Amino acid sequence: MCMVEIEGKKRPQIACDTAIKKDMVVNTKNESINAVKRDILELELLSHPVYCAICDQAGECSLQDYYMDFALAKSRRAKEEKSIKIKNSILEEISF
Amino acid sequence: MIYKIVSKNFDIKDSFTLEVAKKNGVYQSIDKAFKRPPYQIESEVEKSGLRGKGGGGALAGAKWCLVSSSNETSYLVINADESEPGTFKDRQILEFDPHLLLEGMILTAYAIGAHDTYIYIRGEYSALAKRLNEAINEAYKDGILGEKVKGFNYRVDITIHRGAGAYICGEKSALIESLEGNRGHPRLKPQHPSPEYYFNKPTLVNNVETIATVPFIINEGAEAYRSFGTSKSPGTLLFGISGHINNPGIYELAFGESMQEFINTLGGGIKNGKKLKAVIPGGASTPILSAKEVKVAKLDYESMKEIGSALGTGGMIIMDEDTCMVSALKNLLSFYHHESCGQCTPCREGTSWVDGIIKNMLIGKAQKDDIELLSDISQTMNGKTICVFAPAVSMVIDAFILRFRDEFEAYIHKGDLDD
Repeated sequence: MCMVEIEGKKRPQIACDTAIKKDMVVNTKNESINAVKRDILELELLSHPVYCAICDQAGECSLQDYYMDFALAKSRRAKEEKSIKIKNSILEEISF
Repeated sequence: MIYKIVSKNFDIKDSFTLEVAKKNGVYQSIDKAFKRPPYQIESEVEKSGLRGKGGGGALAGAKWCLVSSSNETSYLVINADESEPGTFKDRQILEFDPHLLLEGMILTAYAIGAHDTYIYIRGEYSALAKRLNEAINEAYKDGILGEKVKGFNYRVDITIHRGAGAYICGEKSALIESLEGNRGHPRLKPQHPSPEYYFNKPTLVNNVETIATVPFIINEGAEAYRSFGTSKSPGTLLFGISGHINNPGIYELAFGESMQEFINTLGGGIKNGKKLKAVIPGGASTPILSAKEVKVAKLDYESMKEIGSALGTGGMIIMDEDTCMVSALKNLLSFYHHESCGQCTPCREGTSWVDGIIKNMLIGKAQKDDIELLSDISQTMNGKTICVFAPAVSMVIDAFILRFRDEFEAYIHKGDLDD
């Protein structure tokens, strides 16, 4: 998700490992780089359960923030194909 | 067509024993080499234009220079993790002439200033690791390895490290991670040319066949090596051919031969008299060629790049007219899905998604814009990951769709009709 466009280089570069040089012009938000981020976000959320309603992280979640910033789109993978595994722990048997 | 540089001793009985190997010329270059300073060995290899035979084809001499130019302790690691589908050339050297590899390792270690060397061998090659171990023991007993190599004042020690069945550990930085005891996750490459680092010391990682070629270059000279092949791709390569062919196997050819002629003559033609449909030229990660391109293809790095493919490891997979291309792609994508290390999101999720799409296509559940979706995912996987595994998958998918689009469309229409 840290992809940025650097003027003079044809492909987007990762921001976390590219050293800064003098007079470098970096674009972090434009049409093409937003499209790249949207595609990567689609893959990040591909196997994600998306149970925001009951998830503890909701409201402080980077995935939600990125989605609002870059995506707001539907996933192209059918919901039935997400692998959703049942949790191993049985919640009802906790005794007090 | 055939020139036996590396495969010279393969057909001799017991060629893997020290006695027979020595009788057939192995270890003779060591006396020559140790009388010269190390930089001369390196410059001879540089002059010969030797290119790495692990699939990348980078100049070996330039790679050696990055390690030898540092003053720190350095290491040599041989990449014997041959896991590319369609490639079975390195195992021939390990099985039939391991002493040639050991000789090459001693020369290379001397040239770059390394004393401790490692062979990272694929986990599945357990019998070959045993044979290699026996060869190393023979060499130690004979004074060829150890504190003083053949009496000269230089120490070379070899350790065999067995892998555990991961294709990604053939990638040089993942290999070093695995050798250090960590998970085989590839490392980020710096922008400028730099060597690999094993426990923070500069390390040279080279393929088995590349190092097994060094004794010839020292014995006969750089010019002799350049007399084979083309000017940009000098020398020979152990080309493999398998699939729907009459004479599958390994053939050591000089670079620059015509692929069609190789298939027709040494290969013996397509099995059962069928017509050729497609060839994967250099191990599974190279873009596929249809019969039309095979007619003009030449077996060297530059020519293959010009027609939009890559020479890779030279392991050709031949497919005849009855092959279903969508099933062939499914076969490859299952492999890539299984072997992705999982570090980078585009690769981990992308390989599982495309595997699922092709699986649905084959059981008749193709969606209307599946081809565009495959191309889109392949775009996202290209250029946004740490290693080149995902770009290889992306190129494979693009080549299949470009050259055999009609077969994919047929599955989509079939899916529409069945609904």
